[in-house]
Amino acid sequence: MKIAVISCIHGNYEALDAVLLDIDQHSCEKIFCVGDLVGYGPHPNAVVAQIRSLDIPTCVGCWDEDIVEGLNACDCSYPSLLAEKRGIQAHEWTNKEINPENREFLANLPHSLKEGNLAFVHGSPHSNHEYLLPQLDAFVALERVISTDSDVLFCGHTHVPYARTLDAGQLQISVGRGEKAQEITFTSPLKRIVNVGSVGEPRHGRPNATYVIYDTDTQEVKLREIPYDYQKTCAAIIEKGLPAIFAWRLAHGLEYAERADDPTHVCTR
Amino acid sequence: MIIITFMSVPNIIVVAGSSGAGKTTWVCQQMRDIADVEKIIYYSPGTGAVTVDQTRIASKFPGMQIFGDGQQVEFLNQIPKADAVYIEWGFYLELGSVAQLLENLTYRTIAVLPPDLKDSEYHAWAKEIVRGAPTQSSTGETLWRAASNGQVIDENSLEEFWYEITHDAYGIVTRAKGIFDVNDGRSLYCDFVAGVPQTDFLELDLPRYLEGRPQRFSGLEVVGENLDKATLRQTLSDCCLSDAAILQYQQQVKEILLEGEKV
Repeated sequence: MKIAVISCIHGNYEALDAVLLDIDQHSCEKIFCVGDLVGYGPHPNAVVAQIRSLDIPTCVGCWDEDIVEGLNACDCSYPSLLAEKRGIQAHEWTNKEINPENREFLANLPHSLKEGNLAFVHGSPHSNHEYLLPQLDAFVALERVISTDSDVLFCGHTHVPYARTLDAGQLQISVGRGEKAQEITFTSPLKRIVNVGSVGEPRHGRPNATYVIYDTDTQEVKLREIPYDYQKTCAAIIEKGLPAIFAWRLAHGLEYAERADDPTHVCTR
Repeated sequence: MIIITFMSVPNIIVVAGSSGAGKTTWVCQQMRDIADVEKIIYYSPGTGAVTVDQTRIASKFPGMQIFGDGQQVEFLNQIPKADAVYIEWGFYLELGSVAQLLENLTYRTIAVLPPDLKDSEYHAWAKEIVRGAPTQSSTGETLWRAASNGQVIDENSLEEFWYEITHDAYGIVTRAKGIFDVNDGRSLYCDFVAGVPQTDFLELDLPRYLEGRPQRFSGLEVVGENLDKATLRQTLSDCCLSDAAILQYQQQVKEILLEGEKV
């Protein structure tokens, strides 16, 4: 069975439309979404309405969470003061724009989804704000997958797609302290982390949308990059009164604000 | 009119040329072999309160006499006592005004120009042409400047803002230069010329400023077409740290430096 996994649409309806069309052309049987339907982009209501109408299983992203619970970014979220100020502008705009029905939908999204040996989260199983970057320490990465009791962990949040295989390995952990400490050794089977990139706010240097098609029979991961009329989104950003720099950054594949790129950082909340 | 009697006439050099071609760099090159710069004068009129070049030269050659706008009389008075005088003539100033400034004096004219520039007004004006950087200028360029004295810029934000400026997010930029005080008290010099390989931010040889808001120059100058000046100004402001953040960073840096001294 082929499944499509999408993430980080960020109110970019044009990009979502193009991705859904591509998914349709690849005969995927099911679509999963790992959150961030809103934030930065000009069409948060249209995006949420589309996800709802297609009944796509979706877990909550950090932006969806913040629209419901209020801005709750941690240190992982913004790598600079400028990014933080832009993030606040986008949050305030989206918070005014989103209608009550869509806000309610976002409020009821689960933190994670499971489908057989597949797990779906936005950032990481520990936090929607945590970035599972491709260079993350292998032990930490493996722990994140094991904690979901699955073999393949799909995530988004970084906006750069990748597939990482964590080879089977022997792990030794120490439980307790001092003389009472117990050494436990176990062998972990092969695990994978698949980051599906971003539909509506890429940061791979091009404006194209990205998502993933996964074959549950062959375990093949296909990273898809879909061109679309991003200029329409750019024009809508300006028409709706969002900062023009968001349009410029979208056109350059640089995210609307900025990126977090410290692989050694582990979210502590 | 100011009339000055000269006991001895120093070597006066006026260097002009296109934006970003390397006028200040050329002046710095002339200073390399001079052991005592205290009798050397550098004057750069027309920069207003945004004294990027003056600050850069002052940090590189401590003791050198530096003058800018509002100091013309003082500058002219100091000429007789100097060994050499370098006047940097910005591309936004009329070349004809040089003669008005240095009415009774003998001076050498040098133009630093991109290699492909031919038959310009500089060629007619200068005694000597120096091959400069291959800049890309156009006719519709405007100049935007902002002083940010007293502000501390978040360094990560500065990197992002600088990337956006130099990749045309606020208009087609051909030249940008600035000096900024950052989180850890250092003063950074940023330099961009379109068509020339980018250089990293350069730390100026100035003491770390760790006692409140810096009492020294910082600011930005951008040259380009269709500049979105309002957004440039707002974004620069968005990069500035609050009083509380400045205090927190300065305390952290002081503690780190103190730990280093103990070791």
